Amino acid sequence: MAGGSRPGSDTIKSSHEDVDNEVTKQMCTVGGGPTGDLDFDERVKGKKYRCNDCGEKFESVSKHPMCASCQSENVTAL
Amino acid sequence: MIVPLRDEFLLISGTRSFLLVAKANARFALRIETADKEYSQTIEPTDLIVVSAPEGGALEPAIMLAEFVRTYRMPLIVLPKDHPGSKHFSYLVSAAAEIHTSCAIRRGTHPEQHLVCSSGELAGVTLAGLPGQVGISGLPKTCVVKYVTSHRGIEYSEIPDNSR
Repeated sequence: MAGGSRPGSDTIKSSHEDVDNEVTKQMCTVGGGPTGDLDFDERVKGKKYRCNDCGEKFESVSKHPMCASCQSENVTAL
Repeated sequence: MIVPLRDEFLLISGTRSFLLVAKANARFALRIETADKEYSQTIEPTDLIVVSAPEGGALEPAIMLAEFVRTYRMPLIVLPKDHPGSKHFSYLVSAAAEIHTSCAIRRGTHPEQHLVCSSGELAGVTLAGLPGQVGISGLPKTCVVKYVTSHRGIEYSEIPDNSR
């Protein structure tokens, strides 16, 4: 059924309908899992760079950093 | 399962929740804003942008969220842990080369992009961006996978039979 439009059926499931106890039991997303949230904060380590084109200083978490201001790849590690 | 994917979306529907998958299709720097830091993450053309709707809901906001990142390159906002707004997020987005779904994280509070908060039924799915394709593993058998386009309203189409 290629390209079959289904007007009016775009709602997979309303967040306000059928949110009953059963759903709540299935979900463990609100407030983390039963053992609490996973902790990743210490693993987010960025390196600092300066953009050689626009001068912006930024912290990148990527192996191939790009300036988020001007999208330049001409950057220098600080 | 490997499914061809270009500029359309891939909808992975469970019974009560869904994931919407898009290819980045461009190289760009995406800002990730946390309470006290700003990170830049380089998005590669083969990377994925995944929107998770843990309670389901309308598809349009998920498409908008994906396009906010893919087309408009709007920053991703990360809430501090224990922020009261976390539980009210009904759509979450992550952008990375490989993204795992988890129902054991607090929604909207993780700056790392390899994880996205999902419902329990869609937890444990791994989505990997490949050239012109997306690799999907850990998919529950009850899930339905379809293409979605939004050029002239939302239209659905079947994935190729030979998707393996």
